[in-house]
Amino acid sequence: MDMTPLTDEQIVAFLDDALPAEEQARVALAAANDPSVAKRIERLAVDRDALNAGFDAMLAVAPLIAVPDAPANEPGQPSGWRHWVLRGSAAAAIFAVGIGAGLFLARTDAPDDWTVAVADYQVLYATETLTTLPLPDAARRTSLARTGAALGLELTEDALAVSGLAFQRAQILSFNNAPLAQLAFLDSNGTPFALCFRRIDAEDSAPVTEDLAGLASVTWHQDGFGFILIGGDDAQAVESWQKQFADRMGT
Amino acid sequence: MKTKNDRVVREGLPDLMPRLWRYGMVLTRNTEDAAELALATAMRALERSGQFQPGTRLDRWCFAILGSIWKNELRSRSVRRGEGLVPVDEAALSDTAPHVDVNISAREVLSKMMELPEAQRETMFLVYVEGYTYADAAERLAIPVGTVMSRLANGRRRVNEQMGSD
Repeated sequence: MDMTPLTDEQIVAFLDDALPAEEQARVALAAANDPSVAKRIERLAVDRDALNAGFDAMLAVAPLIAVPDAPANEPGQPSGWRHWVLRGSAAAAIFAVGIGAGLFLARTDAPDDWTVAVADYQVLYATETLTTLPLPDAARRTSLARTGAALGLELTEDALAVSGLAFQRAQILSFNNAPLAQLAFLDSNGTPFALCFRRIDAEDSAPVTEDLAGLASVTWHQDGFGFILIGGDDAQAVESWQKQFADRMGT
Repeated sequence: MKTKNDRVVREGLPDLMPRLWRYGMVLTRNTEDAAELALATAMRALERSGQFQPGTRLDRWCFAILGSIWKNELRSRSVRRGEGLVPVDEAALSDTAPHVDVNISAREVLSKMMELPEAQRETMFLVYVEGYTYADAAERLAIPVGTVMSRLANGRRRVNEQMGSD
């Protein structure tokens, strides 16, 4: 019997069932009889199911990228994607379709009313949604600046400093192929809230309080944007925060 | 021949785009760069559809194109921008590490894997997510099988160490 010590590579290949049968059996035997081997196996274990679930879910949020129709190689044209990318249209088109837009675009029953879509999304948020992977300060500010830029607004954390709500992160969603900003907050009890907005061709309108998907919400139009603030079940609290945001968003 | 292959490639690409983007995310860790890489791959695949062997796997063929565009053309640009070697683009990851229907351990293991050095996370992705055998991964990456094994061992050890560490 081969008595050479096992390498980590062999142990991993054993875990992946990638060794020849004889070696596979040798490692299994060592694992059963030698606690130090069992311990090394433990140190090299990775939850493959969780890993696959994570990567499967990435597919669900993949942006829709259209395969170009035009022949790739036209005489006299710079070849291929470089030409495409250099024109700048590709990046812009992809961006408009929406990073992370898959969640909405993939839905066949997407509601016509964007505030309903936001409510349907927000209702899935738990405290852990925002606390599991907290963003470092710089990344949080970057997420805010990027999201603002996608909508043509300059956003800073100062403008979001509303008493009682702590800003967590910003991301770009999509509704009907147009970007939709989502700014996520937690209140002092850990209840998740979202301030979402998109460009809208409409006159300014007074705030309307309503229950959407069981969540308290206020919607309003301001300066060419439609806004919704949504979360929890305390309509008065949401109305009070809405006033503060509306004041700060006003130019 | 060109016409027939072109049709096979053209018809197969739309379904592959999310997987190409995902592979792009593993390499670039940035949603926009990943989209650009996936698009560049699709265009290159169409340009070269005459070289595709009918009956072989279109996904693997496209992955090889994507890997080559990244390695030879886009990575250096990302590094020049100072973006290729930074830790994970946290903002992009939060867009991507899905938050709706994935449990917390899935998010954690995904984010730990995405923090690995490029060689390790690409090898782990090909073998564990896209189902490459060690030999297929070695051929795809033009490295010996032993290197595939050591990248997997190092990657797994690091993910394992990092789990629950913060």
